[in-house]
Amino acid sequence: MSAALPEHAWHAALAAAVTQPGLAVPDCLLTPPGGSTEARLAVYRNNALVPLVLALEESLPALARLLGAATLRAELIRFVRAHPPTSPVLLDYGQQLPEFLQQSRSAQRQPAAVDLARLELQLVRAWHAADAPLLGAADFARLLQAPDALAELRFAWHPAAVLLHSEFPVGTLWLAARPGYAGTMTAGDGVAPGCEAPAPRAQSVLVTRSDWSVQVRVLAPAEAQMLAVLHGSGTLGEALASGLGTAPAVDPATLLTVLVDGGFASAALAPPDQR
Amino acid sequence: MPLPTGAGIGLKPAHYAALRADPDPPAFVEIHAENHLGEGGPNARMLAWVREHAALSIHGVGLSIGAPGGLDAAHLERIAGLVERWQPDAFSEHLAWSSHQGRYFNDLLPLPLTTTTLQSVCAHVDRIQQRLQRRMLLENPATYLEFADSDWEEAGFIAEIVRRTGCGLLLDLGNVVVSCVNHGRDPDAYLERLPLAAVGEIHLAGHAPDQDCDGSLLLIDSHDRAVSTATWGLYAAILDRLGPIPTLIEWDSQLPSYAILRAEAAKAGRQLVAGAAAP
Repeated sequence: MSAALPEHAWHAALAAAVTQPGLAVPDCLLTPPGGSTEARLAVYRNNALVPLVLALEESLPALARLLGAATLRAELIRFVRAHPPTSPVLLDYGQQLPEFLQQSRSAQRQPAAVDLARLELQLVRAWHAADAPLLGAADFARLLQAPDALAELRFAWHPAAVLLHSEFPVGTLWLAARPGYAGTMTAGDGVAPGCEAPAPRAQSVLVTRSDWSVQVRVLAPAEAQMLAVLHGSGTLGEALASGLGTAPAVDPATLLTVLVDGGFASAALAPPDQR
Repeated sequence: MPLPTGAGIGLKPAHYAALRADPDPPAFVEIHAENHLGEGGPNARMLAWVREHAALSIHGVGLSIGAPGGLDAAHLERIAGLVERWQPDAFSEHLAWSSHQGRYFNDLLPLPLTTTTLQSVCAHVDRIQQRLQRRMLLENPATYLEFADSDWEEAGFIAEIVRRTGCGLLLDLGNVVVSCVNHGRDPDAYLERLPLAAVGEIHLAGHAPDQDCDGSLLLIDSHDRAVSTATWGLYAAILDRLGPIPTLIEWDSQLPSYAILRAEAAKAGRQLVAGAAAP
């Protein structure tokens, strides 16, 4: 160490040089024989940026499809520079991205980008969320054996299960980016790649996780309404009534299907006096 | 339990299904600790599966052992919780740093090799070994830059850490090739000065050729391709000298199919068996 510098000045000097590409090479570094310190430093600068960008890209396939891969990459480079990680645990990294995109030119052009980023990042959180039992068809069959108590049931949500609402069809956009998607996305859907002035079309989606994978289910308005009541700790009776009162009307059996195979409930909670 | 003296693979979620379906799974599986610090989900399920079917190595990438000052106590607690839960057969970390003033660099950065940093690194290794109540393995680094004020050469620095702390050595032969090319060192002489008796695991990974500004070869420790011929050569020489050592194929980006990864591990496995059979 140079006597004039604090003992650990090398640490701050290299940290700054790695994160600020315009900065001069710190003189504590040795010039390699025949090589360039600048070229060597560029490797570290690249390592501190590119893998984070690539990891985020891997989590955002539908956003890449909506914005175009090159546009998304440019946004992510700006994002990583503006919001570098603060923890060695990167499982949750990127959660400020929707807010960041809100201010971006990309979101002005494709406003659905913000909520689509929110959905895709939520899928990562769902992957890592805590484990809990999931109520299955057999559990619901058991509950049906006490029909009088059904209306008063409430449900504990699985830690991975989340209900998301967007003014844009983010669930459809996500599904359309999946390999093997058989449907078509057109400008008539409100949002599609290349659609410059999308008309909003609201959509709610349910994110859930089974043993080995995360699922996205696009909900009809009545289904979303029922689940919103349940998520707000309402009773099944209240939720069904609310769902059945939502336009466009749905068959009660449709709502029960979402209840049974939706994969959002980890426990049925009986009213206090019946526990 | 030490790792079995077979060949292992670094585990990625893209290979979960194929690994579970493998009738002859690798001798051990290594995970990056920081990818398994979520609360639950498939990553935890997969570790539970690995625990039943193969040996497990936990490889930390975020403890920033080479940074001055104290270790990140909260992160050490997270790692301790993971080690306690899964009881791996080995725990390893790097001679490098990755954090500065609350910012995480997601990279393994170099440090000057001085008596001051030696004391700091040894204190960090001591603290980790005390907290985890086990001997850790320290990995030799791949570097692109060195510090003007270093007054130790790297192999001697590592030997002194091993001598002072009792930790083992994770000998990354890909890193030996990368660093020796990048700094104009002789890999045989470098290996000669390492504390080879302390080697508890070997890493093999591919590296990418690049160019320095004078057109000379600069190797990037990219972990994105098959192991190089030069690295396989060092591997054969080390096995001749040390006998069979648990060996991991690291492949972290541009992921191959599981079959290709498994074949690369099988290649290491054949060398291990040949080494064990040699007189």
